[in-house]
Amino acid sequence: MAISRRHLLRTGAAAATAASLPLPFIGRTLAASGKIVAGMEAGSPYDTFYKKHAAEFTKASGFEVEFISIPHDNIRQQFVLDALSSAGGFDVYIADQVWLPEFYQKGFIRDLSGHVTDADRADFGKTAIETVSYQGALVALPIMVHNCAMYYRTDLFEKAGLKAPPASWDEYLDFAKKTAHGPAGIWGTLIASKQGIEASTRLHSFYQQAGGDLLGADGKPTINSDAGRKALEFMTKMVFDAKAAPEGVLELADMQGMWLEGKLAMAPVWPYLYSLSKEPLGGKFAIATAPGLVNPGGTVYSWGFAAASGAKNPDGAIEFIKWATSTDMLYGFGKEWLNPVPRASSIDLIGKDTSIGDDDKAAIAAFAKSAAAGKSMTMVPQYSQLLDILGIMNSGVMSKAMTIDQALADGQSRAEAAMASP
Amino acid sequence: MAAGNPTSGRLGNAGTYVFLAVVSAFMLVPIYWIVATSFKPTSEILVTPTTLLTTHPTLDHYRTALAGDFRRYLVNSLIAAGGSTALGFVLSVPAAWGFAKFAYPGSSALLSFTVVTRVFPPIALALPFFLQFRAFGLIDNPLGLIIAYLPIVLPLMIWILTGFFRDFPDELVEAARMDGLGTPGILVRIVMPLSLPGLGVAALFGFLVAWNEFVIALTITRTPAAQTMPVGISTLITQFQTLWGEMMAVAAIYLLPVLAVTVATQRGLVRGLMAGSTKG
Amino acid sequence: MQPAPGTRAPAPPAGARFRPARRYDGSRSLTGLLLTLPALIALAVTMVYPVAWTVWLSLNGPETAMRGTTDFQGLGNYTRIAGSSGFRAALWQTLQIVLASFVLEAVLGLAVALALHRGLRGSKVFSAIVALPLMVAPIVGALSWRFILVDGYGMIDSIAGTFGASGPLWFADVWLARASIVIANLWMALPFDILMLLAGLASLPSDPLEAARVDGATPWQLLVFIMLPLLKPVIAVILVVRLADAFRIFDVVYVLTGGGPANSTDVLSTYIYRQMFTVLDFPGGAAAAILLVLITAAFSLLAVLLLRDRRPDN
Repeated sequence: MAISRRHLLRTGAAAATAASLPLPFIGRTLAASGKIVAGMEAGSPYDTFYKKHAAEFTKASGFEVEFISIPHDNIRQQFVLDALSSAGGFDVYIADQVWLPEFYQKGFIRDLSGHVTDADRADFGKTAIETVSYQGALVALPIMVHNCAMYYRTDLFEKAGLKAPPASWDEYLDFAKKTAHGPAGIWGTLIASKQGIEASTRLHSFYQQAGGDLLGADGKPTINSDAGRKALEFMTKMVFDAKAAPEGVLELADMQGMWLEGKLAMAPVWPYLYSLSKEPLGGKFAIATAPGLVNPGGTVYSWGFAAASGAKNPDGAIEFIKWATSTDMLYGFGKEWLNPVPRASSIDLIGKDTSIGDDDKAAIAAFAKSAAAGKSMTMVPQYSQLLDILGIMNSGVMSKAMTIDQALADGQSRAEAAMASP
Repeated sequence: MAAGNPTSGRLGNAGTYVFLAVVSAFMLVPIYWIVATSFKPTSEILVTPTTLLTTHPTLDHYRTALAGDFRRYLVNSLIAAGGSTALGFVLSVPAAWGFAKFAYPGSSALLSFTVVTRVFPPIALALPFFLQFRAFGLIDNPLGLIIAYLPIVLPLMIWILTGFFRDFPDELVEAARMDGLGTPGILVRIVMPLSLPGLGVAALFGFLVAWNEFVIALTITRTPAAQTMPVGISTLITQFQTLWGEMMAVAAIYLLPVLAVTVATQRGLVRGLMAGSTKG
Repeated sequence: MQPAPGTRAPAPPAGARFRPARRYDGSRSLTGLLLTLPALIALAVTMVYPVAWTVWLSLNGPETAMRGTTDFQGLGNYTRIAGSSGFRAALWQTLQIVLASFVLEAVLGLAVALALHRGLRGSKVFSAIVALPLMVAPIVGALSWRFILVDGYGMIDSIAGTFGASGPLWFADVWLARASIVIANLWMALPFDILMLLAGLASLPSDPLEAARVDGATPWQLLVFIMLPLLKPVIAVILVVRLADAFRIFDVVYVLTGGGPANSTDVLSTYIYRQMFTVLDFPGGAAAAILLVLITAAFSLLAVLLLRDRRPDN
């Protein structure tokens, strides 16, 4: 029953495609003046930005854009469902780097290599291109390449007699102890550990900062490693021994709320928090690269636009991606959201723009420096599962439901099972 | 009424009030937080320790909420929930009466089967619905939601009503039959007026499941033209921040229509109480 | 065969088909069929495709979902999922939450319904308050609870703080995290139990109660031997509906704990979601969904059988 129904739908779609083939002329006219459907994250900066400028794209290319805004918590699910149903509901969509390898492997998204010139590749730069490359294919084009940078309160640092942001884990721990102030309810920093993506990316950052990673050069999991042990030990030391960060299982929303309210001296958070912090914290904060034990900088992730394999309007999708990641658009996006953008030419324009304040330029530069110091997430289709495993380990250790040894062993065996699955 | 209640002797009036007050407090605390937050200026929402009542109340969040798409979400929610409840009502009243009073071979198995449709995880329904509805042009269409909500609304209403109809006194049915009423007449003129508590509860819960449904609405609607409130609310949680104030203002607005429905069904409950006392 | 006036038509609960030697009257059966047919057709039309699709997905290999090709695996996906430690842990944790919720709901729900049923002054206000959580979207209710409980700075901590104390770290302890889910779930579910029981109490015939009272029954005896047996059909409905809801609990877990710490609050619906959308294992997710349906259906059937109306015709 179900099978025949699916086949019917498929055959119907195929027939429709076939019917349009003998009339290439009409087909082309339709495409050139056609409509594309773009999937966006509801309420995100890029949603607002690209919606605002969509008319410019229509004018230049002839393609109308219909934006479908999806709540953040369900966005991946919706793209998966669309691909799974071959519904062709989206021509192009905003994509988290985390999804790219598995989406490409499953055939959800297309290779864009043929549409990007060498000059463009050079302009994006090596790191940015790496975040959207998988098995030799270019599976998206980035609009944002970022990692968690260390936000720190200059006034609290001054009060504690500290001159510079922490440059190592030892300093991070020490500075957190020095800046924490119980009576005022101020903590040195916060370790996010609510089971979920955010806690997972934090733990991955700690792995990389400790000089390790999730997988070895041979692609085998290295969860149960010296770096992993050091990462988890550092986290527990900060909370339970130094008592410089609050106990309990907290998440990004808690960290952000406490930071904005002035209750954290240091907070490793994504670049978006900068523009939100300006007003409540009145310029009494600065941005630095997160410190490391071996390597500074948190794990780097990008967001970009990917072209859906099931697109009804594949040409329009490519045009949209080219436009959305062009020098001008990324310049505008960086200027409006004070975010580092992944194009040298756009960063140049931002640098030359006199309407952008020096503080803001310094912040954008600091974010760019932080991203350059970090290392990209692991480009494997199982990365979502690895994140899931890191979330179990992080929440397990920070709630004392697991010892560090148990977490490392459990994480290792889960990771081995995940990597063994196709 | 108290005379019919065996607990009246066990708990003193004061004890009863204390107990009800404690339970009410438990029910009200989260709602209090929603309403209190909706009037707080953004800078005060995440303050520690939480302020229980703001000294600078603001209507900003309500203005933002009402200026956005939320009125459309509200209308769509009313159409989807109201439509599926109405359709559910028309189908479930005769069905429940049939299951309760006119057993036929396999009827109890079928009744058991209806509940299975309700257990089905919504996320497993969402995609097949999407595929099916696309073929009929029901995507992004409030009518699509009304149909999609039938499998979750209808079993609930059938179950609730069957439970109540089972206890309906057969003497009354027989008396009506003697007076020459057929089954539809008995149902409409005798059974329904005397089963108001059950009908009220069934309608209320049918409405509420549809009203609060999220996953299916998310999948088969795509724009504010058909999206419902739960979908609208979830758009206020973004990757970067949660718009607490606006979300709580929307949640507070969202309370109102259902409050009206509840008050209406409560009247039904009260009338039912009276019917019950004359019935005996 | 019309029942004689004053006799009760035998109530046919769902388990009734297991009763032997049941005789059906032809014309009554036809009436029953005609009455129930429209609803059954509506359900069949809306559900046949989704159910068939999910079953089909669960019986095939991973390529099937994407390409529509058949790659029949038999029950392979089912044995794989049922044997996995993740599914078993989620099932076990779901059962714990379902059981804890049920005990609390039964005790509190009945107590509140009886208290409201006394019809004291202000009962209407109290019953309106008790119904309020129904009107809050689950996601908002769950977020609100997170703010009340959140470790270190939630509303409970703020209140405890004014007395110089600090609240417990709800989400940083396996059992407290589970308790927080049960509490928030109780808040969302209790109104249904209370309103159903209240409506059930309102429909109770007063004759048996009066008779028992005249015979000198204590209030406790009245409750246990007269009211509860009379409420059986309503209780059966509550059980069946709440079982279905409790088994697919999602929002509360997602918002409060994310399934943590260390997967200790992972439940079947979060497991299915992860299997489908994180692991992209559609056949496994579909098999888990069907297993969830079968498990819940089994429990519902058990509930219905236990609460079968054994009352003698009066």
